[in-house]
Amino acid sequence: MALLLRKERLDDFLQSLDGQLAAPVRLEHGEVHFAINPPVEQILQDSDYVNSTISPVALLFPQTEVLFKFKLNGKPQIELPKEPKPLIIFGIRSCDVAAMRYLEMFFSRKFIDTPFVERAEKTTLISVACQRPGRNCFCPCCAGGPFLEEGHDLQLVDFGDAFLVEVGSEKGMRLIYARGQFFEPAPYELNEQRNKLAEETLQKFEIASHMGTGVRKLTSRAVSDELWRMMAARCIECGGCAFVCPLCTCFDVVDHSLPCSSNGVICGWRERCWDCCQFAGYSMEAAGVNPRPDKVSRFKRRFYHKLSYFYMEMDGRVGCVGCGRCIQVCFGVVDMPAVVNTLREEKLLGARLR
Amino acid sequence: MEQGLGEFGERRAIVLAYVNCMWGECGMASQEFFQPLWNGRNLYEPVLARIVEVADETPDVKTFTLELDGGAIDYLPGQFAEVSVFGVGEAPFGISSSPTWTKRTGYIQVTVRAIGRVTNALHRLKVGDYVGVRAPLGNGFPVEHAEGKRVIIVGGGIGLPPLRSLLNYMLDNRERFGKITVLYGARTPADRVYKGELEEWERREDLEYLDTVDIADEEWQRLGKRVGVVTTLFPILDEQSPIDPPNTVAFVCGPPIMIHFVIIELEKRNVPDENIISTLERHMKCGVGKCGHCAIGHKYVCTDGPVFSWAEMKELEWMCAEPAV
Repeated sequence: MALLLRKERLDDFLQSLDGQLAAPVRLEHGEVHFAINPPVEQILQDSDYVNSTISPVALLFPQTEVLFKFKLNGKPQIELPKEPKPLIIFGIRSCDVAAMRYLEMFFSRKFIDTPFVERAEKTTLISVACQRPGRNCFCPCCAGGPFLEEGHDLQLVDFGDAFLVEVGSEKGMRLIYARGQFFEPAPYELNEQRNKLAEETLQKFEIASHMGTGVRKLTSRAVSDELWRMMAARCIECGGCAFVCPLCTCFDVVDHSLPCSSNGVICGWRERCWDCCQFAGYSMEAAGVNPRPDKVSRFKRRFYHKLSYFYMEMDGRVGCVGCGRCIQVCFGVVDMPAVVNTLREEKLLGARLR
Repeated sequence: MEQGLGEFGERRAIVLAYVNCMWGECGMASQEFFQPLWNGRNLYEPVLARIVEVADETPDVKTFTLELDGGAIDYLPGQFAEVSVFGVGEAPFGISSSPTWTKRTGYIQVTVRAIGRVTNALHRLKVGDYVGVRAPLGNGFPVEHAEGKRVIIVGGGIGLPPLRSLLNYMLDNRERFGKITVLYGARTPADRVYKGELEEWERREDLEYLDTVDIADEEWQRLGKRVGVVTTLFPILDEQSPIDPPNTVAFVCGPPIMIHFVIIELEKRNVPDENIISTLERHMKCGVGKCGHCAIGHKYVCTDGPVFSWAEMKELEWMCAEPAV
């Protein structure tokens, strides 16, 4: 089913939504950020931005989050965080939708990660298909876009004065049913035009990352230790790639406590915060043993996780959606496409590795 | 799976399904069996547990007996618990009591060496204090795999606690297992844990027990007991009760270097790789396969392990191109 949403009705549509609305806005220095309940006039439209600096999946898996609070006064008392409110993310890009679906799978696999899954259940994604890929984008190589065929709740395709609305889930369907007044049926030709647009967009990408070759070379152990060493030597272990990667899920757990009254009662909280496998202390054990003591093994670890066939088999996708954020942050030019193409060429490709 | 659940009921079935997965017989047991087995609403919310007894094992090792809010839990030998000291943090420990003992008393035990922040804080706690517990976690030892076979348990130093859980479980179900041999090595006589129980095991008729220390003290020398690393016990074993390789299952737990050399000894005696069972140690922060710290290749030590057969370990090392042990 395809519907049309006129652009002059978009503001009204957004205001009619229940719960919190997260939407892209431009900050002072030009970067794009997903803000909660921003003024409607500040919300960016499709052509205004490529993507946000930090992926909106951080709204569901934030950099730090309190797991529970406790009070120590005799028998400890534990207080869990409140249940999350419904959230609608408008303007999320295709790559981040693909990332969100991966995270939902990951966080509900085997054990259900309560904080994430409770939020994900109450979140609706209204994505906007990309027609102007950025210079770092390579989502077509990783099944991450630019147009989505599955995974979205609603997908909007920009047609100048109106959006073509595609429904991808029951959640999206319910959203539309309750707000029929904003939509009109889309003419049949629009579907054809949409497919043509998707084809045209594919021609606009500047980067190719040959993921399949990367996966094959890495899993069959065709990569020499020397090449791993040369690539790892370029990594400065800043952790930037993991922090901007929408598929990176590692976290650390930390307790904090302080006296909260004069009679010796201790109050505290346990929180989790993002961690990165490139950090030297990441897998350090209490007894002082470090299973990955050198940078090469940690560097290998990162790309084995993203590209190993055995992970792909388990996760159902390669560990990258092609959002290109790691290209933006990596000082050493050992981001995902750079590494994949190095694996493919079997030699380090100069200063700009691509 | 429906048969033989006995007193453990449904939750037991869940755990067994998981263990069978290890041996490639994973059926349609699917995802449901991984729901939190403790009664916290949240995956990361620990259950409160009162310390009812603290026993000094060695100068830096204590055994804590815990009474869980909401009653005893059921588990398998080799599964672990995440124990929280509120305000300090959480750390994983192999459950050192046996499921059969827990069923009798309602308590669980963990044996802890003071080595880091959480363990030192734990050592400062006293009887009556509260900790948080999330348990049982991990896969546990494949006890079914050892049924009817000769069992060799090799422990080194602080590696004994999970094996003690296994041994006591086997002794409580003695008729299901063949001859049981325990080999225990420690650095010094004082570093041996569960000294009272060791003496009892030595006296038992249905159990072969051999021990050794790296460095003897006067008392040890006076008694004329064995000195040397744990692998020096294998020649003695060859003489008094030789290993029949295909019908032998070995459980090995201890420092990585010890595991390495014990596996060499077992391989020399042709014990099949599938029958050499050991545990991998990693920094398991969340215990539920989410935080990523314990991952080796595509396996998470906390949910796919911590118990692995030597065959699985070798395969894993190849897959991720890094040493597991």
